[in-house]
Amino acid sequence: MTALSRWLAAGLVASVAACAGTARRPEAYRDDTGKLLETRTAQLQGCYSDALKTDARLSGTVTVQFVVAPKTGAITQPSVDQSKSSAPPVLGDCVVKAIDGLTLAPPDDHEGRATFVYEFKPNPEPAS
Amino acid sequence: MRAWLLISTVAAVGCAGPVVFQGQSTLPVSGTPPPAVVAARPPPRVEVRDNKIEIHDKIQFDYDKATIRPESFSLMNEIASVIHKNSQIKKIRIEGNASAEGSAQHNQKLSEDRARSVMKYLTEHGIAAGELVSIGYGVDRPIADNGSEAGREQNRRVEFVILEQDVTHKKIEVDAQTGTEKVVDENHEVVRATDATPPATAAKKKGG
Repeated sequence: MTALSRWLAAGLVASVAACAGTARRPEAYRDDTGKLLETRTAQLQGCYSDALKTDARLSGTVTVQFVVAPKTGAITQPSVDQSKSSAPPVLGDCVVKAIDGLTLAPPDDHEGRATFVYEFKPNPEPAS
Repeated sequence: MRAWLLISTVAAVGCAGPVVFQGQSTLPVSGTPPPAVVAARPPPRVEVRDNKIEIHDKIQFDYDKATIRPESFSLMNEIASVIHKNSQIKKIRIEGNASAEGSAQHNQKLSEDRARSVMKYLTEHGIAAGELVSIGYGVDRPIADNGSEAGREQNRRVEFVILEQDVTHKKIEVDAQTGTEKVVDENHEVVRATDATPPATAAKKKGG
């Protein structure tokens, strides 16, 4: 074994040691984060219904971006990408408030940079 | 020393790289809009009730005159419209009433003039003159105390009594199975008000 090989092997061992926690594949990271977001659906529906009281026609999409902090799993820096959203800002605020404080469990060793799209649509009015 | 730097770099690259991902599909959020508030329709100002056309408002006249004030034109138009829509109505008596303020003779004439003025307005707005008669009762038919201004205000009024109207009687059979209704007998009759005294007679009575 050459000296370089020995150093690389040592680096690999060190890397494995540093990433001893959970290291999801991107698809799993996406799916787990999606499930985490779904836990706030009821809260979002409540926020949306409140907004509909002021304007019964509110609808559209909200594209939200956020960071999943490594090691803690905390969702941080949530922000609405207005250029990719069609819903009014009040619904973007609903999303940011709803996902703020969520924590992915178990946390991942890697930082996650996520983009999700919400679609807001009012329930049809019951036939009178 | 350089070797340890390399080891840590490899370790850092291997573990700290961010994972960028996008939601596979949109996350649906539904909301329930508040129930549509149906604006309560104001009660009609003019409606047909049995043998009367009831007015839940007041025809305003110039003080001590028979001139209908412009603010009452919309009410007058509504009265004309209701009469038009109720084609079963054949004859209406327009009754003027006055408060006890002033002499009875003066009030008698004022009530007659005001009733006549209302009749004129209605005939000018499409109601056949033959369908209308007018009468003034002066101070004879108070509905409130003439001792107070509020009472006198109530007593100054114009009322509409339906003297004649067509009434249709229908006998209907309902099919027990289909619920379909079928008219098996139908007849019409002209119903006259029990107090359908001709105005001329009433006026004479008043004068006498």
